[in-house]
Amino acid sequence: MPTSTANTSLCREALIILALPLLAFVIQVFFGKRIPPKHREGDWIPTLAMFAGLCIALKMFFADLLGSPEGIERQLWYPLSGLDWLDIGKAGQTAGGLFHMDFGILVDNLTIAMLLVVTLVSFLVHLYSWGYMHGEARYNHFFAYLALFSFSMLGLCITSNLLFCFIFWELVGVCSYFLIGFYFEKKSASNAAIKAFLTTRVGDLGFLLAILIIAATVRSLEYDDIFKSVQENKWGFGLAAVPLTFVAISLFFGPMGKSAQFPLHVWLPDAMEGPTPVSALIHAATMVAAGVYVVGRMFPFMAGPGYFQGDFFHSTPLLVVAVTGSFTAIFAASIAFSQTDIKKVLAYSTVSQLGYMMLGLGVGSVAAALFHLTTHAMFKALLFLGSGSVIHAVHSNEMADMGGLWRKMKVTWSTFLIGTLAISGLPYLSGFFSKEAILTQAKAVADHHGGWYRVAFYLGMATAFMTPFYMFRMFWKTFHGRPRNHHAYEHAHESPWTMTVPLVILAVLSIGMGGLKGEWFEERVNSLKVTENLFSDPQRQVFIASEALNAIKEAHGHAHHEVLLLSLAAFLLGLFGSWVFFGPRSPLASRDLLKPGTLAGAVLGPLNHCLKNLWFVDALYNLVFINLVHFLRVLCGAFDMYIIDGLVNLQGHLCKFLAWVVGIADYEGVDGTVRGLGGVTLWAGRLMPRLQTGNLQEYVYASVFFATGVLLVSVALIRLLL
Amino acid sequence: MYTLTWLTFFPLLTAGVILLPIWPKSVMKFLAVVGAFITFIIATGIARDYSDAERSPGAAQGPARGADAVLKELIESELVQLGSGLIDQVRARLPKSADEVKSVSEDTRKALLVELGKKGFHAWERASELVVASSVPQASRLRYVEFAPWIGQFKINYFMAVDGLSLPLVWLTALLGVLCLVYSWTIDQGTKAYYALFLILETGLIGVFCALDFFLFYVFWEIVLLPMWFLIGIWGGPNRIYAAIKFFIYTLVGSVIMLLAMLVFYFKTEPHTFNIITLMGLTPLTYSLQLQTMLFLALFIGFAIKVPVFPFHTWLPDAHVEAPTAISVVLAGVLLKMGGYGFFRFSYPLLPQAATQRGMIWFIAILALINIVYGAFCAMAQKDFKKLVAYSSVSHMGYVLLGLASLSYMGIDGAVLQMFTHGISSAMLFFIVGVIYDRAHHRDLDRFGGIGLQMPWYTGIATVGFFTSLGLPGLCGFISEVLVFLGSWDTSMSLITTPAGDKGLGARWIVYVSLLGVVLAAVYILWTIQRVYLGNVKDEHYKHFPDLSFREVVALVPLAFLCVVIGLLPNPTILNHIDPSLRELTDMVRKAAGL
Repeated sequence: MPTSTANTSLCREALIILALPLLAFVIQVFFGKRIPPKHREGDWIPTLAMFAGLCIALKMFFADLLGSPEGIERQLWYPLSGLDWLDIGKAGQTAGGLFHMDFGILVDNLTIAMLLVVTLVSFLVHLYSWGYMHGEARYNHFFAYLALFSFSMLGLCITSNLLFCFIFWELVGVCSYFLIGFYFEKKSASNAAIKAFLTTRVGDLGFLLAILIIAATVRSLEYDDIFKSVQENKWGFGLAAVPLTFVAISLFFGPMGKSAQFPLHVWLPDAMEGPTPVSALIHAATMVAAGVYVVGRMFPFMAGPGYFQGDFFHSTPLLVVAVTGSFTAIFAASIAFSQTDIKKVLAYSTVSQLGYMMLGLGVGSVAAALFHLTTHAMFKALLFLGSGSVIHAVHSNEMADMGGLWRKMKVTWSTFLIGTLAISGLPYLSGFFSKEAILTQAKAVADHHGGWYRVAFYLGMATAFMTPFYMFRMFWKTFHGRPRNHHAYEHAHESPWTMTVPLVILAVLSIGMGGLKGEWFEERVNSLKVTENLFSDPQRQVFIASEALNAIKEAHGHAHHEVLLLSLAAFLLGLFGSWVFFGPRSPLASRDLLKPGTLAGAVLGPLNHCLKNLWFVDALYNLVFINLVHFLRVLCGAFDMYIIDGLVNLQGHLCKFLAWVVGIADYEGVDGTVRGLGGVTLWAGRLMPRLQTGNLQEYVYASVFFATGVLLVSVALIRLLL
Repeated sequence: MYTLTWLTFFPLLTAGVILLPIWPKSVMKFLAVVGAFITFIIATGIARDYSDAERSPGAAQGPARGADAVLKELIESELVQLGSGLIDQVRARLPKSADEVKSVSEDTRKALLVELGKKGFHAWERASELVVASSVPQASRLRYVEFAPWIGQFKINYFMAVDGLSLPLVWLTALLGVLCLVYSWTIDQGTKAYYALFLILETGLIGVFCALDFFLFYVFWEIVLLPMWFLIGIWGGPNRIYAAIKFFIYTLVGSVIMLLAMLVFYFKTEPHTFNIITLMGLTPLTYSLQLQTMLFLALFIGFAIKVPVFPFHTWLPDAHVEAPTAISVVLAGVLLKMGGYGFFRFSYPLLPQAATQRGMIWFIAILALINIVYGAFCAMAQKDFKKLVAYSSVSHMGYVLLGLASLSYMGIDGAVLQMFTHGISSAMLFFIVGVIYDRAHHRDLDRFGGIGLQMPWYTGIATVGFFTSLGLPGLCGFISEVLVFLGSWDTSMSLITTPAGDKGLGARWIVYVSLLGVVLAAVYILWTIQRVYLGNVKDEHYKHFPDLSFREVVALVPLAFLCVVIGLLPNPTILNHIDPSLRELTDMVRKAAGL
């Protein structure tokens, strides 16, 4: 289907969705506190804006997207085309950096799916925050930030241009910074905010570099132009060419930072310093998924020219994505075992699940990755909001202060259970389907191509065994067993309706989303769909009928059953394992397995030590980078103060010294001569009066003597000269 | 009309008025602000008309006409002064283009002197100068031309005009003039002298950006120096004498070297001239590469000290720390741009072959890199809030150099825009430091903390300023930085593939390392925000700090507004108007360099 620029109705709707939170943000910042009713501080304005946006997104989703089996016709619209957002140089010249760019809105199936996820979770989080944030200082600011974040996130999803994508990308980053540091009185909160911003910015360097290279090579940053350049194989030729692989990997650094992939994952667990609704919205459902979205959006670019022949299983960038994703998945899952803070467990589980999504993209299935993104957004938002409900009740994040809460909080408990089951992969819940879709594809590609893909699949599969284990560990510790902090337990209570209603809605969706079963995504947002407007009909046939794709499809059939069985086994084994170690009435639960001297302690002790220290990654970064920066800043500061400025001052002192020397020379030499002459004159002056004695005889003697002298000298001179 | 003259000298006139001994203090302040405001209105009017004229160059009327047309008329009026017999003779001998002027030999000149007589010959010389000037492509972008002989014997003219390169800086000067005078309302000692000196300073600054005669430029350049010296030396902090003298001598050394270069330009060009536009037409054709390189380095020192470029930058932190807030604002906002402006107006167009030698590009690019990275690390090392902001200026001006070295359309646009956006953001940051210094009476970063709790509006606006400086998308600093990077990467790729082969940067690692500046800026800025605004209130005194006063709001809000508007709509607000001029500039330099 070609891109439609004539019919832009959906783009206009998307623009309305985008404009609403921005408007709400402006109102909230300037008038928030003055909006009636007084005690609400205007919180209903952003909430209402998100609700309106959600309604439009729902309409787009159900009427337009589900309305036809192929989804919608791709639409592209430039709402500000008259303004020329950026226009350097004029057309006709190609050398030296000419550039034209406009803000464009691109709506296709992928966009609509993202719009729905973002508006839905955002609305629920807004509503939830009414209760959760009630009575907090800066309540109105909180909603302003949420609105600004929603605006930026929506913008990221609907723009048609990589530079605008980067702009919104940074904006969500800064919103994340503000919200992580919302309790900025706490040093740990502001530290975490800075860590988040800087870590993602390190990744963004790669992103920015890729943008620079793409702009110089393609002379445009529109997605379509970029894909076209890949299709026409413009990369990798000429003296100055940069290999596509390099650019694609460099681009991947951005998503790596934003989606907290190893080794840039360190910021996400710390980001839990932010209020819990923020963790649900930004650090679970939407912003961290933006990296997945961008890789999905840029998929043809990441896959390279092979993509257009339907064979993207030999692309190094995709392999990097797959391996990074699968390694992150197992790495983060392992750390989740050792965490005692309920939000930290969820944070590491988010990192792990994001790794799954990256694995899905890396093995060539945009559909599976996006499917998992959607389902994960639901159940992870649910889990975070549920944990928020618990924290609200016991006023602590530590699982040591919980236990046995299920009696007190029935709604939270039951919804939390659904979320836990969904992420653990209970069949017929959403997480099961999406995870299975990714693993099946991974298995198919691994079977067919082997090599590193096989490693990626095994890592992913192993993670599936770990997920139910650590998730249920948390579940048992939180809701079951004996209450460990009686004071907290006594005061615990179920949360108000604004908090429980979102939980229930998300619980329903966590179950129901599985109904889509992946086929829906496969039909509408598969790899081909991302760029199908670039294909002519014969090319499309080539793509669909390509050997590689068919081979994978065939392998899919075999893989499907194996993965299904393995997933089931993983779920059961994980569940059982967690019950054995942590479950209620389990014989092992009350034993201290880490006690030194025992066999278990000898094995688990060092392991626990590594996990507790997060595999020493944070410590290593502190040791290397923080110290390096400190060293350099002290070095540069001292160099500047003592060497550079010292030289300047030395120059000044030299000048002063020179001036002193000259002054002395002047006083003693030049002026001394003058003074000397004056002295001689004075002396002569004093001498002369003595000659005037008034004695006539002396005058006569003198005259004769003088005249004779003159005569003699004259004669001598004349003789000499003649 | 004399619009540009009014614009330039209105502050001076205001200074004259307020110096009359009849005003009470408050009336005097009020008059000064009104004077600055009228200057700002004139500048805004010029900016508006200029952009209209750029949009439809054919329809431009009156002072908004291009300089090429105006200069052609001037040739006629030059000739009309001659008698009717001489006029045809001179006209017949008049060269048609810069090439012809260049090829006039010494013998021909002597013959012409005999033929036309002294009067006729001088008219012929002046007219041929103007012929060259009107044929320079950049002349068509210069508007609001004012041209009158000043010191006839040496052909020194009062030649003023603005184009897309100078206009943003002129407008910024006028804007900051108003804001600073409002902000300085609390200056209590020697108020009259302070206000008068400030207004004289403003005249000098506007004059520097408008003057197109080298001699006139030099005069304005020196006019800037003296009021600044007094303003730092009298109203400054405890170590003000040291800072003022350092500033003065440092700049003076640079300008003396510049003076020498100016004289070389004058005597080495036939006919002798101080007219910059004429020089643009002649020097690339007639000067040897060696001479160009020497002149380039001489000018470079003069401008580099002002920018400031490493290692000439150490006067800047001292001057900033000691200067009163409003003076720091002008210093960072406008004064530093005199150096950058000099590169764009003098070094590159007058000496394109020297500027585009491979070695010179490397030299500038490496210095840019050092400025960016080294400046950022130095900023991190500071404990004094104001010094930190000063070093961030050093870092940010590195982007100007990087864009310059790239010699691409995007890079040059980005560099000029960076001068403008840095003028806004650094002005904001110095106001922000001033606000807190007025309350806390110290600037020690380690002793601050929790200001965000106490002064929320102040913190909000400060955040806009800091994030602009950090290069956050959506605010204006991002646009210029990303353009500089796009441009520099672009030429680092494309130039090495040109037939010229040896031209251009050709070193991508410079771009890679410069990119680090983006992260480093985030490091020192976020760290500063954390130390000053976040956390709990560190000192009981801070609990009595009032939020922004009206005076401070007036100074800060317009700048914050500009940050957002330019960041959201870069092209309609500013790039559209400066791009054509800069394109001519870039084209000319690239053509002269054979790219």
